[in-house]
Amino acid sequence: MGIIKTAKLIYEYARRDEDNNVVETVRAVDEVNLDIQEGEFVAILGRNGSGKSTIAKQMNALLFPSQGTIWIGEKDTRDEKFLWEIRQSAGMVFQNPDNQIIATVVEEDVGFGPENMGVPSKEIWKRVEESLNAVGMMAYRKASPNHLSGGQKQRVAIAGVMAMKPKCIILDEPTAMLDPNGRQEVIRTVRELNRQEGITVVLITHYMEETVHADRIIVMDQGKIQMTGTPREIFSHVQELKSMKLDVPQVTELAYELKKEGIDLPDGILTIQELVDALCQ
Amino acid sequence: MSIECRNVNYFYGKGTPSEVHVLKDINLTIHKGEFIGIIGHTGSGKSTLIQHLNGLLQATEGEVCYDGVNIFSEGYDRRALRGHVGLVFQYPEHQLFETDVFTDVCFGPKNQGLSQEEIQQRAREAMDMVGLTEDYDKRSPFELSGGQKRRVAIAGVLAMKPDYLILDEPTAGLDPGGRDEILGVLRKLHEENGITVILVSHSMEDVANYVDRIIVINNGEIAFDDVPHQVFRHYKELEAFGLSAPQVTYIARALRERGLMVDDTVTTVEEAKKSILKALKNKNK
Repeated sequence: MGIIKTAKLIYEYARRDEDNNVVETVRAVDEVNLDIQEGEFVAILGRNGSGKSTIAKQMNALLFPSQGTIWIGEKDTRDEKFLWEIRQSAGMVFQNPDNQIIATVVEEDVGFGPENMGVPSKEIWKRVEESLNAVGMMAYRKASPNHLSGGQKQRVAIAGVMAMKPKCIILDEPTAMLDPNGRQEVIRTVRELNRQEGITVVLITHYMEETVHADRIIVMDQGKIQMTGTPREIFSHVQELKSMKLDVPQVTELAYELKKEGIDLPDGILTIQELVDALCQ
Repeated sequence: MSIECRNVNYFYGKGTPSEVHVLKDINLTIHKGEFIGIIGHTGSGKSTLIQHLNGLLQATEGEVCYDGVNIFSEGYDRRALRGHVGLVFQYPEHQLFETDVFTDVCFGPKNQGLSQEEIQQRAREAMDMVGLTEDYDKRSPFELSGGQKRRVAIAGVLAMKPDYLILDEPTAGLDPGGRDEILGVLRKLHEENGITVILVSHSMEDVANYVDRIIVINNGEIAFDDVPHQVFRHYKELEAFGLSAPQVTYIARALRERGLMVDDTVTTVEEAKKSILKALKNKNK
Protein backbone atom coordinates (compact mmCIF):
# COMPACT_ATOMS: atom_id res chain seq x y z
CA MET A 1 0.00 0.00 0.00
CA GLY A 2 1.28 3.45 -0.94
CA ILE A 3 1.55 6.39 1.40
CA ILE A 4 -1.70 7.84 0.04
CA LYS A 5 -4.31 5.37 -1.06
CA THR A 6 -7.98 5.76 -1.82
CA ALA A 7 -10.57 3.12 -2.60
CA LYS A 8 -13.80 4.20 -4.35
CA LEU A 9 -13.51 7.57 -2.68
CA ILE A 10 -16.70 9.61 -2.94
CA TYR A 11 -17.32 13.09 -1.61
CA GLU A 12 -20.73 14.70 -1.77
CA TYR A 13 -21.97 17.98 -0.47
CA ALA A 14 -25.47 19.35 -0.28
CA ARG A 15 -26.55 22.65 -1.74
CA ARG A 16 -29.17 24.27 0.43
CA ASP A 17 -31.64 27.10 -0.14
CA GLU A 18 -32.25 30.00 2.25
CA ASP A 19 -34.45 27.83 4.51
CA ASN A 20 -31.71 25.24 4.79
CA ASN A 21 -33.57 22.67 2.68
CA VAL A 22 -31.36 20.50 0.51
CA VAL A 23 -31.75 21.60 -3.13
CA GLU A 24 -29.39 19.09 -4.65
CA THR A 25 -26.47 16.87 -3.79
CA VAL A 26 -23.29 17.51 -5.71
CA ARG A 27 -20.77 14.73 -6.12
CA ALA A 28 -17.39 16.50 -6.14
CA VAL A 29 -15.34 13.30 -6.06
CA ASP A 30 -16.71 10.25 -7.77
CA GLU A 31 -15.29 6.80 -6.98
CA VAL A 32 -11.63 7.71 -7.17
CA ASN A 33 -8.98 5.03 -6.77
CA LEU A 34 -5.52 6.36 -6.14
CA ASP A 35 -2.27 4.85 -4.96
CA ILE A 36 0.65 7.20 -4.42
CA GLN A 37 3.96 5.62 -3.46
CA GLU A 38 6.38 7.05 -0.92
CA GLY A 39 8.87 9.38 -2.61
CA GLU A 40 6.71 9.93 -5.69
CA PHE A 41 6.13 13.36 -7.27
CA VAL A 42 2.55 13.42 -8.49
CA ALA A 43 0.90 16.37 -10.22
CA ILE A 44 -2.88 16.69 -10.39
CA LEU A 45 -4.42 18.67 -13.24
CA GLY A 46 -8.03 19.57 -13.79
CA ARG A 47 -10.25 22.55 -14.43
CA ASN A 48 -11.82 24.49 -11.55
CA GLY A 49 -14.51 22.35 -10.01
CA SER A 50 -13.02 19.06 -11.23
CA GLY A 51 -12.62 17.79 -7.67
CA LYS A 52 -8.86 18.06 -7.32
CA SER A 53 -8.84 20.39 -4.31
CA THR A 54 -11.53 18.31 -2.63
CA ILE A 55 -9.27 15.27 -2.92
CA ALA A 56 -6.29 17.26 -1.64
CA LYS A 57 -8.24 18.26 1.46
CA GLN A 58 -9.04 14.59 2.09
CA MET A 59 -5.32 13.89 2.09
CA ASN A 60 -4.75 15.66 5.37
CA ALA A 61 -8.12 14.99 6.90
CA LEU A 62 -9.63 18.43 6.44
CA LEU A 63 -12.50 16.65 4.70
CA PHE A 64 -13.69 13.09 5.14
CA PRO A 65 -15.09 10.66 2.57
CA SER A 66 -18.86 10.45 2.09
CA GLN A 67 -18.27 6.89 0.92
CA GLY A 68 -15.17 4.82 0.28
CA THR A 69 -11.92 5.12 2.15
CA ILE A 70 -8.69 7.09 2.13
CA TRP A 71 -5.61 5.88 3.96
CA ILE A 72 -2.63 8.10 4.74
CA GLY A 73 0.34 5.98 5.74
CA GLU A 74 -2.04 3.02 6.00
CA LYS A 75 -4.25 4.90 8.46
CA ASP A 76 -7.93 5.45 7.73
CA THR A 77 -8.62 9.20 8.04
CA ARG A 78 -12.04 8.57 9.59
CA ASP A 79 -10.45 6.97 12.63
CA GLU A 80 -10.23 9.91 15.02
CA LYS A 81 -7.32 8.57 17.01
CA PHE A 82 -5.09 8.93 13.93
CA LEU A 83 -6.16 12.50 13.14
CA TRP A 84 -3.11 14.33 14.48
CA GLU A 85 -0.73 11.74 13.17
CA ILE A 86 -2.24 12.10 9.71
CA ARG A 87 -2.14 15.89 9.70
CA GLN A 88 1.46 15.71 10.78
CA SER A 89 2.53 13.22 8.14
CA ALA A 90 0.67 14.98 5.33
CA GLY A 91 1.37 18.72 5.32
CA MET A 92 -0.57 21.13 3.21
CA VAL A 93 0.37 24.37 1.42
CA PHE A 94 -2.36 26.60 0.00
CA GLN A 95 -2.65 29.21 -2.72
CA ASN A 96 -2.43 32.45 -0.79
CA PRO A 97 0.78 32.88 1.22
CA ASP A 98 -0.74 35.71 3.24
CA ASN A 99 -3.34 33.39 4.74
CA GLN A 100 -0.76 30.90 5.97
CA ILE A 101 1.77 33.01 7.78
CA ILE A 102 0.87 34.02 11.28
CA ALA A 103 3.99 35.03 13.20
CA THR A 104 5.82 38.35 12.95
CA VAL A 105 9.24 36.78 12.51
CA VAL A 106 10.06 34.11 9.92
CA GLU A 107 11.71 31.64 12.33
CA GLU A 108 8.80 31.82 14.76
CA ASP A 109 6.38 31.08 11.98
CA VAL A 110 8.34 28.01 10.96
CA GLY A 111 8.51 26.87 14.59
CA PHE A 112 4.77 27.22 15.14
CA GLY A 113 3.88 23.74 13.91
CA PRO A 114 6.35 21.71 15.99
CA GLU A 115 5.65 23.94 19.00
CA ASN A 116 2.00 22.94 18.84
CA MET A 117 3.02 19.33 18.63
CA GLY A 118 4.85 19.70 21.94
CA VAL A 119 8.32 19.22 20.50
CA PRO A 120 11.06 20.23 23.02
CA SER A 121 12.44 23.69 22.25
CA LYS A 122 15.95 22.54 21.43
CA GLU A 123 14.54 20.18 18.86
CA ILE A 124 12.25 22.95 17.51
CA TRP A 125 15.22 25.22 16.82
CA LYS A 126 17.02 22.39 15.10
CA ARG A 127 14.02 21.72 12.90
CA VAL A 128 13.53 25.42 12.13
CA GLU A 129 17.11 25.66 10.91
CA GLU A 130 16.91 22.48 8.88
CA SER A 131 13.63 23.54 7.28
CA LEU A 132 14.79 27.06 6.46
CA ASN A 133 17.97 25.64 4.94
CA ALA A 134 15.98 23.16 2.90
CA VAL A 135 13.92 25.93 1.29
CA GLY A 136 16.87 28.33 1.00
CA MET A 137 15.43 30.93 3.37
CA MET A 138 17.98 30.75 6.22
CA ALA A 139 19.21 34.28 5.49
CA TYR A 140 15.73 35.60 6.29
CA ARG A 141 15.18 33.81 9.60
CA LYS A 142 14.95 37.04 11.58
CA ALA A 143 13.02 38.94 8.89
CA SER A 144 9.41 39.98 9.10
CA PRO A 145 7.23 37.99 6.68
CA ASN A 146 5.68 41.30 5.54
CA HIS A 147 8.91 42.20 3.83
CA LEU A 148 9.15 39.05 1.77
CA SER A 149 8.07 38.54 -1.82
CA GLY A 150 5.24 36.13 -2.65
CA GLY A 151 7.65 33.36 -3.64
CA GLN A 152 9.65 33.80 -0.44
CA LYS A 153 6.47 33.71 1.68
CA GLN A 154 5.41 30.49 -0.01
CA ARG A 155 8.84 29.01 0.75
CA VAL A 156 8.43 30.01 4.40
CA ALA A 157 5.01 28.31 4.38
CA ILE A 158 6.68 25.19 2.95
CA ALA A 159 9.38 25.38 5.65
CA GLY A 160 6.60 25.56 8.26
CA VAL A 161 5.21 22.31 6.92
CA MET A 162 8.68 20.74 6.71
CA ALA A 163 9.32 21.51 10.38
CA MET A 164 6.53 19.08 11.24
CA LYS A 165 8.62 16.37 9.54
CA PRO A 166 5.88 15.19 7.21
CA LYS A 167 6.22 12.22 4.90
CA CYS A 168 4.32 13.99 2.18
CA ILE A 169 3.44 17.50 1.25
CA ILE A 170 0.35 18.51 -0.67
CA LEU A 171 0.43 21.82 -2.51
CA ASP A 172 -2.84 23.27 -3.77
CA GLU A 173 -2.00 25.80 -6.49
CA PRO A 174 0.98 27.17 -4.55
CA THR A 175 2.10 29.40 -7.44
CA ALA A 176 -1.23 30.85 -8.59
CA MET A 177 -0.58 34.25 -7.04
CA LEU A 178 3.12 34.55 -7.83
CA ASP A 179 5.14 36.26 -10.55
CA PRO A 180 7.37 34.16 -12.86
CA ASN A 181 10.36 34.36 -10.52
CA GLY A 182 8.33 33.39 -7.48
CA ARG A 183 6.83 30.45 -9.35
CA GLN A 184 10.27 29.17 -10.29
CA GLU A 185 11.55 29.54 -6.72
CA VAL A 186 8.68 27.51 -5.31
CA ILE A 187 8.81 24.75 -7.90
CA ARG A 188 12.57 24.42 -7.59
CA THR A 189 12.20 24.15 -3.80
CA VAL A 190 9.53 21.48 -4.07
CA ARG A 191 11.57 19.43 -6.54
CA GLU A 192 14.59 19.56 -4.25
CA LEU A 193 12.59 18.43 -1.23
CA ASN A 194 11.33 15.54 -3.30
CA ARG A 195 14.69 14.48 -4.66
CA GLN A 196 16.96 15.20 -1.73
CA GLU A 197 14.75 14.57 1.28
CA GLY A 198 12.60 11.93 -0.36
CA ILE A 199 9.37 13.77 0.54
CA THR A 200 6.31 12.59 -1.37
CA VAL A 201 4.86 15.53 -3.31
CA VAL A 202 1.33 16.05 -4.56
CA LEU A 203 1.20 19.24 -6.63
CA ILE A 204 -2.03 20.76 -7.89
CA THR A 205 -1.49 23.46 -10.47
CA HIS A 206 -2.86 25.21 -13.53
CA TYR A 207 0.60 25.87 -14.92
CA MET A 208 1.31 22.94 -17.20
CA GLU A 209 5.04 23.59 -17.44
CA GLU A 210 5.35 23.01 -13.67
CA THR A 211 4.32 19.39 -14.10
CA VAL A 212 6.79 18.23 -16.75
CA HIS A 213 9.23 16.93 -14.13
CA ALA A 214 6.62 14.98 -12.14
CA ASP A 215 6.88 11.19 -11.99
CA ARG A 216 3.21 10.96 -12.76
CA ILE A 217 0.34 13.23 -13.77
CA ILE A 218 -3.26 12.58 -12.83
CA VAL A 219 -5.90 14.42 -14.85
CA MET A 220 -9.26 14.92 -13.17
CA ASP A 221 -12.55 16.02 -14.63
CA GLN A 222 -16.07 15.84 -13.19
CA GLY A 223 -14.82 14.23 -10.02
CA LYS A 224 -13.19 11.30 -11.78
CA ILE A 225 -9.68 10.42 -12.84
CA GLN A 226 -9.70 10.75 -16.62
CA MET A 227 -6.05 10.06 -17.37
CA THR A 228 -2.98 9.01 -15.51
CA GLY A 229 0.55 8.58 -16.82
CA THR A 230 3.98 10.11 -17.17
CA PRO A 231 4.11 13.74 -18.35
CA ARG A 232 5.16 12.52 -21.78
CA GLU A 233 2.18 10.19 -22.03
CA ILE A 234 -0.28 12.78 -20.77
CA PHE A 235 0.95 15.64 -22.92
CA SER A 236 0.78 13.47 -26.03
CA HIS A 237 -3.00 13.88 -25.78
CA VAL A 238 -3.19 17.54 -26.76
CA GLN A 239 -6.76 17.36 -28.10
CA GLU A 240 -8.22 15.50 -25.11
CA LEU A 241 -6.57 17.91 -22.67
CA LYS A 242 -7.95 20.90 -24.54
CA SER A 243 -11.42 19.36 -24.51
CA MET A 244 -11.14 19.20 -20.71
CA LYS A 245 -10.28 22.92 -20.76
CA LEU A 246 -6.69 22.20 -19.91
CA ASP A 247 -3.56 23.30 -21.63
CA VAL A 248 -0.21 21.88 -22.61
CA PRO A 249 3.17 23.61 -22.22
CA GLN A 250 3.85 26.00 -25.11
CA VAL A 251 6.71 23.83 -26.36
CA THR A 252 4.41 20.80 -26.49
CA GLU A 253 1.76 22.77 -28.34
CA LEU A 254 4.30 24.08 -30.85
CA ALA A 255 5.60 20.56 -31.51
CA TYR A 256 2.03 19.33 -31.95
CA GLU A 257 1.26 22.12 -34.45
CA LEU A 258 4.47 21.42 -36.39
CA LYS A 259 3.62 17.74 -36.52
CA LYS A 260 0.24 18.57 -38.01
CA GLU A 261 2.12 20.41 -40.76
CA GLY A 262 3.98 17.22 -41.59
CA ILE A 263 7.20 17.74 -39.64
CA ASP A 264 8.51 14.44 -38.28
CA LEU A 265 8.60 14.81 -34.48
CA PRO A 266 8.05 12.41 -31.58
CA ASP A 267 4.85 12.73 -29.49
CA GLY A 268 4.75 14.48 -26.14
CA ILE A 269 7.76 16.77 -26.39
CA LEU A 270 8.13 18.46 -23.00
CA THR A 271 11.24 20.60 -22.97
CA ILE A 272 12.86 23.15 -25.23
CA GLN A 273 15.93 20.93 -25.43
CA GLU A 274 13.93 17.99 -26.77
CA LEU A 275 12.29 20.07 -29.48
CA VAL A 276 15.53 21.70 -30.52
CA ASP A 277 17.30 18.33 -30.67
CA ALA A 278 14.50 16.82 -32.73
CA LEU A 279 14.43 19.71 -35.20
CA CYS A 280 18.20 20.11 -35.59
CA GLN A 281 19.34 16.50 -35.93
CA MET B 1 -8.39 61.27 -26.18
CA SER B 2 -5.82 59.95 -23.72
CA ILE B 3 -4.70 59.36 -20.18
CA GLU B 4 -1.32 60.90 -19.57
CA CYS B 5 1.12 60.61 -16.69
CA ARG B 6 3.55 63.52 -16.50
CA ASN B 7 6.59 63.05 -14.26
CA VAL B 8 4.57 61.08 -11.76
CA ASN B 9 6.31 60.27 -8.49
CA TYR B 10 4.64 58.50 -5.61
CA PHE B 11 5.95 57.97 -2.09
CA TYR B 12 4.72 56.10 0.94
CA GLY B 13 5.36 58.09 4.09
CA LYS B 14 7.23 60.94 2.44
CA GLY B 15 9.45 62.77 4.89
CA THR B 16 9.40 59.94 7.44
CA PRO B 17 12.29 57.53 8.09
CA SER B 18 10.31 54.74 6.41
CA GLU B 19 9.83 56.69 3.18
CA VAL B 20 9.49 54.47 0.11
CA HIS B 21 9.77 55.84 -3.41
CA VAL B 22 7.19 53.66 -5.17
CA LEU B 23 6.87 55.34 -8.57
CA LYS B 24 9.75 57.24 -10.12
CA ASP B 25 9.30 59.82 -12.88
CA ILE B 26 6.63 57.98 -14.79
CA ASN B 27 5.89 59.51 -18.19
CA LEU B 28 3.27 57.65 -20.12
CA THR B 29 0.48 58.30 -22.59
CA ILE B 30 -2.33 55.82 -23.05
CA HIS B 31 -4.31 56.55 -26.20
CA LYS B 32 -7.90 55.62 -26.65
CA GLY B 33 -8.27 52.33 -28.48
CA GLU B 34 -5.06 50.68 -27.28
CA PHE B 35 -4.71 47.20 -25.78
CA ILE B 36 -1.87 47.42 -23.27
CA GLY B 37 -0.20 44.90 -20.98
CA ILE B 38 1.64 46.04 -17.85
CA ILE B 39 4.17 43.55 -16.48
CA GLY B 40 6.50 43.71 -13.50
CA HIS B 41 7.44 41.53 -10.55
CA THR B 42 5.47 41.61 -7.29
CA GLY B 43 6.13 44.94 -5.61
CA SER B 44 7.39 46.68 -8.75
CA GLY B 45 4.73 49.38 -8.46
CA LYS B 46 2.37 48.33 -11.24
CA SER B 47 -0.75 48.16 -9.06
CA THR B 48 0.14 51.55 -7.59
CA LEU B 49 0.50 52.94 -11.09
CA ILE B 50 -2.92 51.81 -12.29
CA GLN B 51 -4.57 53.33 -9.23
CA HIS B 52 -3.24 56.69 -10.37
CA LEU B 53 -5.00 56.37 -13.70
CA ASN B 54 -8.48 56.89 -12.27
CA GLY B 55 -7.51 59.09 -9.36
CA LEU B 56 -7.74 56.53 -6.54
CA LEU B 57 -4.24 57.61 -5.62
CA GLN B 58 -2.83 61.08 -6.05
CA ALA B 59 0.71 61.49 -7.32
CA THR B 60 3.05 62.97 -4.68
CA GLU B 61 4.74 64.87 -7.51
CA GLY B 62 3.74 65.30 -11.12
CA GLU B 63 0.26 65.01 -12.59
CA VAL B 64 -2.15 62.66 -14.33
CA CYS B 65 -4.25 64.18 -17.11
CA TYR B 66 -7.43 62.84 -18.63
CA ASP B 67 -7.98 64.34 -22.08
CA GLY B 68 -5.41 66.98 -21.25
CA VAL B 69 -6.92 68.08 -17.91
CA ASN B 70 -5.19 67.41 -14.59
CA ILE B 71 -7.51 65.12 -12.66
CA PHE B 72 -6.55 66.76 -9.37
CA SER B 73 -7.09 70.30 -10.60
CA GLU B 74 -9.57 72.44 -8.65
CA GLY B 75 -13.17 71.32 -9.05
CA TYR B 76 -12.36 68.29 -11.24
CA ASP B 77 -15.16 65.73 -11.22
CA ARG B 78 -13.30 62.58 -10.21
CA ARG B 79 -16.53 60.74 -9.64
CA ALA B 80 -17.32 61.12 -13.33
CA LEU B 81 -13.73 60.15 -14.15
CA ARG B 82 -14.21 56.81 -12.40
CA GLY B 83 -17.13 56.18 -14.73
CA HIS B 84 -14.83 56.78 -17.71
CA VAL B 85 -11.91 54.80 -16.34
CA GLY B 86 -13.14 51.52 -14.87
CA LEU B 87 -10.84 49.59 -12.56
CA VAL B 88 -11.20 45.87 -11.91
CA PHE B 89 -9.16 44.81 -8.91
CA GLN B 90 -7.47 41.48 -8.26
CA TYR B 91 -9.92 38.74 -7.36
CA PRO B 92 -12.87 41.05 -8.15
CA GLU B 93 -15.32 38.24 -7.41
CA HIS B 94 -14.59 38.83 -3.71
CA GLN B 95 -16.45 42.09 -4.16
CA LEU B 96 -19.68 40.53 -5.38
CA PHE B 97 -22.24 40.81 -2.64
CA GLU B 98 -25.78 40.99 -4.01
CA THR B 99 -28.04 37.96 -3.91
CA ASP B 100 -28.36 37.66 -7.67
CA VAL B 101 -26.19 38.41 -10.67
CA PHE B 102 -28.36 41.08 -12.28
CA THR B 103 -28.71 43.16 -9.10
CA ASP B 104 -24.96 43.00 -8.61
CA VAL B 105 -24.26 44.30 -12.10
CA CYS B 106 -26.78 47.13 -11.49
CA PHE B 107 -24.87 48.37 -8.45
CA GLY B 108 -22.43 50.64 -10.33
CA PRO B 109 -24.92 52.55 -12.52
CA LYS B 110 -27.32 52.75 -9.55
CA ASN B 111 -24.66 54.76 -7.73
CA GLN B 112 -24.26 57.00 -10.73
CA GLY B 113 -27.81 58.20 -10.02
CA LEU B 114 -29.36 57.05 -13.29
CA SER B 115 -33.02 56.21 -13.91
CA GLN B 116 -34.20 52.70 -13.18
CA GLU B 117 -34.74 52.07 -16.87
CA GLU B 118 -31.27 53.27 -17.81
CA ILE B 119 -29.69 51.21 -15.01
CA GLN B 120 -31.34 48.01 -16.17
CA GLN B 121 -30.55 48.65 -19.80
CA ARG B 122 -26.90 49.22 -19.01
CA ALA B 123 -26.69 46.12 -16.84
CA ARG B 124 -28.19 44.05 -19.63
CA GLU B 125 -25.72 45.47 -22.18
CA ALA B 126 -22.80 44.86 -19.84
CA MET B 127 -23.84 41.27 -19.27
CA ASP B 128 -24.17 40.81 -23.04
CA MET B 129 -20.65 42.13 -23.54
CA VAL B 130 -19.16 39.51 -21.25
CA GLY B 131 -21.33 36.74 -22.65
CA LEU B 132 -23.75 36.28 -19.72
CA THR B 133 -27.29 35.55 -20.90
CA GLU B 134 -30.55 36.33 -19.10
CA ASP B 135 -30.43 32.84 -17.61
CA TYR B 136 -27.83 34.16 -15.20
CA ASP B 137 -29.97 37.08 -13.95
CA LYS B 138 -31.47 35.39 -10.93
CA ARG B 139 -28.58 33.10 -10.05
CA SER B 140 -26.52 33.68 -6.98
CA PRO B 141 -23.03 34.92 -7.85
CA PHE B 142 -21.67 32.44 -5.35
CA GLU B 143 -22.73 29.35 -7.22
CA LEU B 144 -20.90 30.30 -10.41
CA SER B 145 -17.49 29.06 -11.54
CA GLY B 146 -14.39 31.22 -11.04
CA GLY B 147 -14.40 32.44 -14.65
CA GLN B 148 -18.13 33.22 -14.54
CA LYS B 149 -17.85 35.14 -11.27
CA ARG B 150 -15.08 37.19 -12.73
CA ARG B 151 -17.21 37.97 -15.78
CA VAL B 152 -19.96 39.19 -13.46
CA ALA B 153 -17.47 41.45 -11.69
CA ILE B 154 -16.23 42.84 -15.01
CA ALA B 155 -19.82 43.40 -16.15
CA GLY B 156 -20.39 45.43 -12.98
CA VAL B 157 -17.65 47.83 -14.07
CA LEU B 158 -18.74 47.81 -17.74
CA ALA B 159 -22.25 48.85 -16.69
CA MET B 160 -20.75 52.25 -15.87
CA LYS B 161 -19.85 52.53 -19.58
CA PRO B 162 -16.14 53.17 -19.20
CA ASP B 163 -13.97 54.19 -22.16
CA TYR B 164 -10.97 52.64 -20.44
CA LEU B 165 -10.98 49.34 -18.62
CA ILE B 166 -8.05 48.59 -16.34
CA LEU B 167 -7.72 45.09 -14.87
CA ASP B 168 -5.27 43.96 -12.20
CA GLU B 169 -4.32 40.34 -12.91
CA PRO B 170 -7.72 39.33 -14.23
CA THR B 171 -6.72 35.70 -14.83
CA ALA B 172 -5.00 34.96 -11.49
CA GLY B 173 -6.19 31.69 -10.00
CA LEU B 174 -8.29 30.66 -13.00
CA ASP B 175 -7.84 27.38 -14.85
CA PRO B 176 -6.73 27.51 -18.51
CA GLY B 177 -10.37 27.43 -19.65
CA GLY B 178 -11.35 30.31 -17.37
CA ARG B 179 -8.28 32.24 -18.43
CA ASP B 180 -9.12 31.93 -22.14
CA GLU B 181 -12.71 32.87 -21.34
CA ILE B 182 -11.70 36.14 -19.65
CA LEU B 183 -9.01 37.07 -22.17
CA GLY B 184 -11.47 36.33 -24.99
CA VAL B 185 -13.97 38.72 -23.38
CA LEU B 186 -11.30 41.42 -23.14
CA ARG B 187 -10.31 40.98 -26.78
CA LYS B 188 -13.93 41.29 -27.81
CA LEU B 189 -14.44 44.42 -25.69
CA HIS B 190 -11.44 45.93 -27.38
CA GLU B 191 -12.23 44.92 -30.94
CA GLU B 192 -16.01 45.18 -31.02
CA ASN B 193 -16.84 47.75 -28.37
CA GLY B 194 -13.81 49.95 -28.88
CA ILE B 195 -12.90 49.91 -25.20
CA THR B 196 -9.30 50.68 -24.30
CA VAL B 197 -8.01 47.74 -22.26
CA ILE B 198 -5.08 47.92 -19.84
CA LEU B 199 -4.17 44.60 -18.36
CA VAL B 200 -1.75 43.88 -15.51
CA SER B 201 -0.45 40.33 -15.82
CA HIS B 202 2.13 37.86 -14.56
CA SER B 203 1.76 35.64 -17.57
CA MET B 204 4.15 36.55 -20.35
CA GLU B 205 2.38 34.13 -22.68
CA ASP B 206 -1.00 35.83 -22.17
CA VAL B 207 0.46 39.26 -22.68
CA ALA B 208 2.25 38.15 -25.85
CA ASN B 209 -0.91 36.55 -27.22
CA TYR B 210 -3.26 39.47 -26.67
CA VAL B 211 -1.81 42.95 -26.29
CA ASP B 212 -0.39 45.46 -28.79
CA ARG B 213 1.90 47.26 -26.37
CA ILE B 214 3.76 46.21 -23.25
CA ILE B 215 4.87 48.46 -20.43
CA VAL B 216 7.48 46.89 -18.16
CA ILE B 217 7.73 48.32 -14.65
CA ASN B 218 10.80 47.61 -12.57
CA ASN B 219 11.46 49.19 -9.17
CA GLY B 220 8.87 51.88 -9.84
CA GLU B 221 10.32 52.91 -13.20
CA ILE B 222 9.29 52.22 -16.76
CA ALA B 223 11.98 49.87 -18.04
CA PHE B 224 10.48 49.19 -21.48
CA ASP B 225 7.46 50.49 -23.35
CA ASP B 226 7.07 48.94 -26.78
CA VAL B 227 5.39 46.28 -28.94
CA PRO B 228 5.73 42.68 -27.62
CA HIS B 229 8.39 41.69 -30.18
CA GLN B 230 10.68 44.47 -29.11
CA VAL B 231 10.10 44.04 -25.38
CA PHE B 232 10.74 40.28 -25.34
CA ARG B 233 14.01 40.80 -27.23
CA HIS B 234 15.30 41.99 -23.87
CA TYR B 235 14.67 38.64 -22.22
CA LYS B 236 17.92 38.80 -20.26
CA GLU B 237 16.99 42.13 -18.68
CA LEU B 238 13.47 40.84 -18.08
CA GLU B 239 14.90 37.86 -16.22
CA ALA B 240 16.97 40.20 -14.08
CA PHE B 241 13.66 41.97 -13.23
CA GLY B 242 12.14 38.65 -12.12
CA LEU B 243 10.18 38.30 -15.36
CA SER B 244 10.72 36.17 -18.44
CA ALA B 245 9.81 35.87 -22.09
CA PRO B 246 7.22 33.43 -23.47
CA GLN B 247 8.55 29.88 -23.80
CA VAL B 248 8.42 30.08 -27.63
CA THR B 249 10.85 33.00 -27.63
CA TYR B 250 13.39 30.79 -25.84
CA ILE B 251 12.72 27.99 -28.30
CA ALA B 252 13.44 30.29 -31.24
CA ARG B 253 16.67 31.47 -29.63
CA ALA B 254 17.82 27.91 -28.97
CA LEU B 255 17.04 26.89 -32.56
CA ARG B 256 19.05 29.80 -33.91
CA GLU B 257 22.00 28.83 -31.77
CA ARG B 258 21.85 25.40 -33.35
CA GLY B 259 21.91 26.89 -36.83
CA LEU B 260 18.21 26.84 -37.76
CA MET B 261 17.61 30.40 -38.92
CA VAL B 262 14.22 31.15 -37.38
CA ASP B 263 13.04 34.62 -36.44
CA ASP B 264 14.03 34.93 -32.79
CA THR B 265 11.58 37.70 -31.97
CA VAL B 266 8.52 35.44 -32.17
CA THR B 267 6.28 35.61 -29.12
CA THR B 268 3.33 33.32 -29.92
CA VAL B 269 2.99 29.66 -30.90
CA GLU B 270 1.44 30.65 -34.24
CA GLU B 271 4.35 32.94 -35.13
CA ALA B 272 6.90 30.35 -34.04
CA LYS B 273 5.22 27.68 -36.12
CA LYS B 274 5.30 29.82 -39.29
CA SER B 275 8.87 30.86 -38.74
CA ILE B 276 10.10 27.31 -38.10
CA LEU B 277 8.29 25.93 -41.16
CA LYS B 278 9.85 28.63 -43.29
CA ALA B 279 13.33 28.06 -41.90
CA LEU B 280 13.06 24.28 -42.45
CA LYS B 281 11.97 24.85 -46.05
CA ASN B 282 14.91 27.15 -46.74
CA LYS B 283 17.28 24.68 -45.16
CA ASN B 284 16.10 21.82 -47.37
CA LYS B 285 16.38 23.82 -50.57
